[in-house]
Amino acid sequence: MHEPTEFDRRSFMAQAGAGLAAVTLLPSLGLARQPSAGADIRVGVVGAGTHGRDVLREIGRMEGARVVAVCEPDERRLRSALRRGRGAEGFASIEDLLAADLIDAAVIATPTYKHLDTARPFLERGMHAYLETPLAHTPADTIELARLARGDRGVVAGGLQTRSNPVYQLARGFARSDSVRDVVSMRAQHHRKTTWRSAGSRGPGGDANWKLDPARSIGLAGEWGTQQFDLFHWYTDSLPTHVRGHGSIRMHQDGREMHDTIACTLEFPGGADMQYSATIANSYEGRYEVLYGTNAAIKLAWSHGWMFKEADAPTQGWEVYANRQQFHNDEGITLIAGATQLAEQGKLKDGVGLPYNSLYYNLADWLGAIESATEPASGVEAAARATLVGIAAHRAITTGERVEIDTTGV
Amino acid sequence: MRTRFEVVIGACDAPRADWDAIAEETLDLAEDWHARLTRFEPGSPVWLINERAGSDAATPVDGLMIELLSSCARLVHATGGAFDPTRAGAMDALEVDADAMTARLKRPGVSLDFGAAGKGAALDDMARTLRSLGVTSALLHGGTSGVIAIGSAPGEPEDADGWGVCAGGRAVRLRDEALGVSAPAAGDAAGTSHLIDPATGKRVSRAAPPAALICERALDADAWSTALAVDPGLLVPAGVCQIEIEQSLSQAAREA
Repeated sequence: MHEPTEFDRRSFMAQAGAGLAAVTLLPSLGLARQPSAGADIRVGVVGAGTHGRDVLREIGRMEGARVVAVCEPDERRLRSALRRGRGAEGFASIEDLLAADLIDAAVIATPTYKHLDTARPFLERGMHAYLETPLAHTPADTIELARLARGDRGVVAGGLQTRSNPVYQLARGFARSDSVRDVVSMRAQHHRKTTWRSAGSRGPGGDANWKLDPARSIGLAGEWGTQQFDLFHWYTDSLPTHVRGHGSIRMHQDGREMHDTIACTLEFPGGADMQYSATIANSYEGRYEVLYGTNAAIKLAWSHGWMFKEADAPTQGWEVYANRQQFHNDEGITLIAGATQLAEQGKLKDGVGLPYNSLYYNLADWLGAIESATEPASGVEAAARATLVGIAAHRAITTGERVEIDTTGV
Repeated sequence: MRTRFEVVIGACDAPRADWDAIAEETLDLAEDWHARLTRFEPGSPVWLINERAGSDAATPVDGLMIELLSSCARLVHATGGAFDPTRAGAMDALEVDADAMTARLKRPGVSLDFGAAGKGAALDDMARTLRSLGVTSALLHGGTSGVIAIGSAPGEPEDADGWGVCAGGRAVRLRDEALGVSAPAAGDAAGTSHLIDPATGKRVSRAAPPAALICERALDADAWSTALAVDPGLLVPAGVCQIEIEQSLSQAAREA
C-alpha cells in the first residue's frame, strides 16, 4: 500500500483547504452579475453632472449595454457628456428623450431633490430604471418613489452599491456566521476633504450648490451615510429604531449652514449601536465600515475587505492558505472574492482588491437583471428604508434631538 | 498616473466661492483619465486591451479614448514613429472601431503605454472643462513636465502675453497654449532613461538632450517632446514651437 509522502500530505492539505474554503465561501460569493455581450441594452443617462460622467464611464466599459442617449438641460454638461458617450444622442428634456423612443432603460443621475420628478415619467411607463441612493430628500418623496417602483414595471434598482459588491457579498456570509458570531457594535466613517460645493448649472432652475441648501439637501448623513447605514441593515437583517447626532462647521466658514463635520449613533434592536462620522474637512482613512463581533471584526473599504480574528476564535481549515495583511498590531485575513478558484490557480494574491468600482458592479448587476428578467441585488424597498434612516439621521444632527426612525410606508 | 496635478485659477465668471469647486471638478478628471489609461490596474480599458492582445476580443472604450487613439495614430505618423504608444513600432496592430466603440491589439506581445501623452490628454480635457465653466485665466500642470495656460496671469492686462513659466532654466510665456518637456536624464537609479526608442526597442541615453515644445494642445506637446527626446533630428511641423533649453534641465532632473 502506498504510504503518503510529505509532498503528498502537503498536496492533500492544500486540496482539502481549498475544498473547505469552497464550502465556506461559495454560498455567499454571489458571482458578480453582468449583461452578456449580446444583450445590447440601450441606456439613457438622465443628468450629466459628475455622477452622470461616472455612469457614462462605467457603462462604457461594459459589453452588452451602451449609452444611446444623454438628457441634460445644461448645454455645457451635455456637450461634455456626448464627447464621452460617443454616438449617444443628446436631449435637453425628458419629454424629448421619451418621445424619441430610443432607450430600454434609464439611469437617473440628477441631484437627490430632483429624483422623484426625474424618475416619475420613466416609472409610470413601466421602464427599467436605476435610481441613486439616497432616493429622495424627504420621506414623502421617498415613499412615493417606492410606490411608483412597485407593481407591473420594469427592473428598478435602488442604487445600494454595497449589495452587488463581490467583497461585501462575500463578507456578509462571514458576518452572519460563527466567524463573527454575536455582533458587539458597528462603526463607519466617510472622510474626504472637499468643499462640497458644485460647479453645476447656474441661472434659473440651476442646481449649483444644492448640497449646501438646507431646503434641498439631507447633509452628510443623508448623502453619504445612507449607503453605509444600509450595509448594517443588510448584514443584520434589522433596522435602527432611533438616532442621535450632532454636527458643526469645523473648516468651511464661508456662510454655509450645512455642517461640514457630523457624528451620529444609530440604535439597533438588541442594544448594538452603530457609530458614524463624516467630514469634508479631513481625508484620513477615507471611507470604510467595521462590524465588531465576539469572534472577529470585519473591516470593509469598498474594493477591499479584511477579517480580524480574536485569539480564542476557532480556526477554520482554509485560513492556513489565506492571504494576510498587517495593520499595526493586528493581522487581517484578506477577503477575496472568488478565492477558491484563484487558490486553485495559485493566483490568490491576484484577487486582493476589486478590479472595478462599486458603481460598476451595481450598474452591471442591474443590467444583468434586466437581461434575465430577475430582481436586482439592490432593490428599491431596501433603498427607500435606508433613505428614511439617512433623512432621520440628518434631522437628529440638525435638531440635536433623539429621533425615532419610522419606515412605515415602504 | 502617479503624478501630481495642480490647478491655479486666476479669473472666472463664476462667484469666487465656487472656484474651489471648479478646481475640484477639474482635478477629478485626472483620476478619470487614470482609470482609463492605467496599465497596472486590472479592469482598466488599457489593461484589458493589453491583456487581450492577439485575441479576437475587442475592448469597449469611451469617446475620449477613441479620440485619444485617433490622435495618437496621427502623431505616430507625423513623428515618423519616434512617438509611439506601443513603444515597439507596432501601431499597425491597433484596431479601433469608432462605430462599435471598441479597440483591440491584433498581435500578441504588443501593448499600449501612453506615458506622457496620457497626461497630455488629461490636461487637455481639464483645460476644456475649465473654459466651459467660465474660467478665463488659469495655469494647470501634470508633474510639471506638461503645462497649459489659459489667458493671462492675474494682475496682468487681458491682452498680456500670458503666464510666465520656467522650462529648463529658460523663461517662456504661455497664453492659451501648452508646454511639453521631456528629459531623458529623468531616468531611474540604474542610470537608464525612462524613454524607449521604438525603432530599436532600447532605452534612450541619459546623455541625450532634453526637449521642450509649445503647442496648442498638451497631447501634441507631450508627444512631440517625447519624439524629439528620442530623435533630436526630427523636424517639427508648423504650429509646434521648439524651445532651445540647456542641458541644465538634464542636470536638474538628475539632481532631483
